[in-house]
Amino acid sequence: MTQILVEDVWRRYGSGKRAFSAVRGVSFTVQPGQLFALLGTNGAGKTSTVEMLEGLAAPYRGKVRLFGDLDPVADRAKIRPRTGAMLQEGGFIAHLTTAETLRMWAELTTGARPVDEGLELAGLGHRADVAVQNLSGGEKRRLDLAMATIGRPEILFLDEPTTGMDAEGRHATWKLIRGLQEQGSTILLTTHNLEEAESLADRLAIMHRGRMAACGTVTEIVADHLSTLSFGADPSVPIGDLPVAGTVEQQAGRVTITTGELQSDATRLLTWAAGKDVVLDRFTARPASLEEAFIRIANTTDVEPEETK
Amino acid sequence: MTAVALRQMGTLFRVEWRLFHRIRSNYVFVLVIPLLLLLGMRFVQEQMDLAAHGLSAGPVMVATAAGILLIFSLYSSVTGLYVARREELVLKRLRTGEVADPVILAGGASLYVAIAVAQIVVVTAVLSVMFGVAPRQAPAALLGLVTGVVLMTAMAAATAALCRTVESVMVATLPAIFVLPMIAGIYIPREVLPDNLGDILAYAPLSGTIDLVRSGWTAELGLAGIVTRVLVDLVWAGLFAWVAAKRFRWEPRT
Repeated sequence: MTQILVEDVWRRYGSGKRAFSAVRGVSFTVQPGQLFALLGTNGAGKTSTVEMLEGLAAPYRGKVRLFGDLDPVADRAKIRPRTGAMLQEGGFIAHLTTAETLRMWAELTTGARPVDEGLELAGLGHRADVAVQNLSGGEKRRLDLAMATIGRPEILFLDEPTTGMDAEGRHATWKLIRGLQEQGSTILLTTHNLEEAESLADRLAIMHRGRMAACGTVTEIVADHLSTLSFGADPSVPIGDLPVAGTVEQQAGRVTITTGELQSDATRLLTWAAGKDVVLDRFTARPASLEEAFIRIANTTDVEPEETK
Repeated sequence: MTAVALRQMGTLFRVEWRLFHRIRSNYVFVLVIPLLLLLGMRFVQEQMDLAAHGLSAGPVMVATAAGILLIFSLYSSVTGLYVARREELVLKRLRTGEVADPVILAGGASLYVAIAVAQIVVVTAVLSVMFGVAPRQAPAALLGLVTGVVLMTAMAAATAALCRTVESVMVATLPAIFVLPMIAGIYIPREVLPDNLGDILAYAPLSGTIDLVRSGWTAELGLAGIVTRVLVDLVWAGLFAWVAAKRFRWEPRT
């Protein structure tokens, strides 16, 4: 059974001439226990997409189904006890303490774990009696995560869960998210942090201007992109003679080779250097990365007209 | 209402209760409004020649006090609460959880309903003693209170639907605060007005509640009169609820 199904979904704001489609025909599926990441720049349509999955907004066109055949808007009452959601920001009552906030949420959630346990899991045990308005940005994100997960949800929506966190908080949160996935939760996460997407996601989609520009595993997404070899060399080295299949460029004393055949080009280059007794200063071989794919997609500037249908 | 919804209401009530006590100036609000009201009434009843219109001061004052408290303690507080909770994204947060939309709104309002009802009970008791009158048709007064609470809460949701920011609440609630007491027989009993106008204003929002509460002390309404008043209030409540359902925004405009 598919846990999350999104089929040609559109989200539209406003009407008439001022109408704007923030999401334009997005489709993907997430299987049980998978972690799926929506990666994109700000304004790419990630949050607009997640809100339709959470049932906070209905799609203008297209279909969203959770747990097989449930509609997030129409079957809200059936779905909510099985899902958890972390909004992009806020949603707290400023004058309540951390513990009071989580207790309120626990009381409103079926099968909630004990509040103390939730606080400890989120690393907020020592901040239990602090008013929410006095928490740091990162601590608020952790409280949000504690609320989203207190009911041990089968599907978890995390909208930019680590924004505003320091490195330590980010790693602690990733650990927590991996733990939830190991316990069987299906997770949909949005992020603009490439490392986050790469280290957590089983599959991911890169969104750009409301569309899905790429979708698959990291390996699948970077497959179409080129790898790079680079080294520093003496200007006397005849770079035109390099026995590689890729394109060679030289800039500021550093040679960069972009290639679709990383392994064989690297082998030929190193063999050549050994034969000629040439030193390749700070030699690196780097496979195509998500970052390159992401930057290339983010730099596309084509603007599509509004669909009027 | 299901047991689950009741339990959720209880949670939301307790949260608002705790927050209410956290801001000390709220105590002033709860005590001062009724006190000023009682003092004002004492003064006004000497000015208005109610007896000439066949009215006795006690029941009129009881109905007026109930109307003012419903508007000031319930309607304006709940409107402000809905808008504030929306701007803080609390309403949006709650909607990601298990609580149904009407329960979110009712739960938030419940504390202010309790406060307004308590104020009304105390003030009407004091007024009854002051004027030496006693309830003669308690069920009518009770019906008036219930319809008034339902109507004011629905009107608060409808008003909040039209407010963009916390700042605009002040402006958006002005019509109800100034106009409603004039037309619903709260400041001026309809009997004092020209007959035609009075007859039309019997159908104004909250007029039914005022008549019902007054009848609680005078027993002036028959069964048909009671049913009509309840229906008028409920039609208004339904209309405001419909506006709220159509237009209520659960998160700030972006």
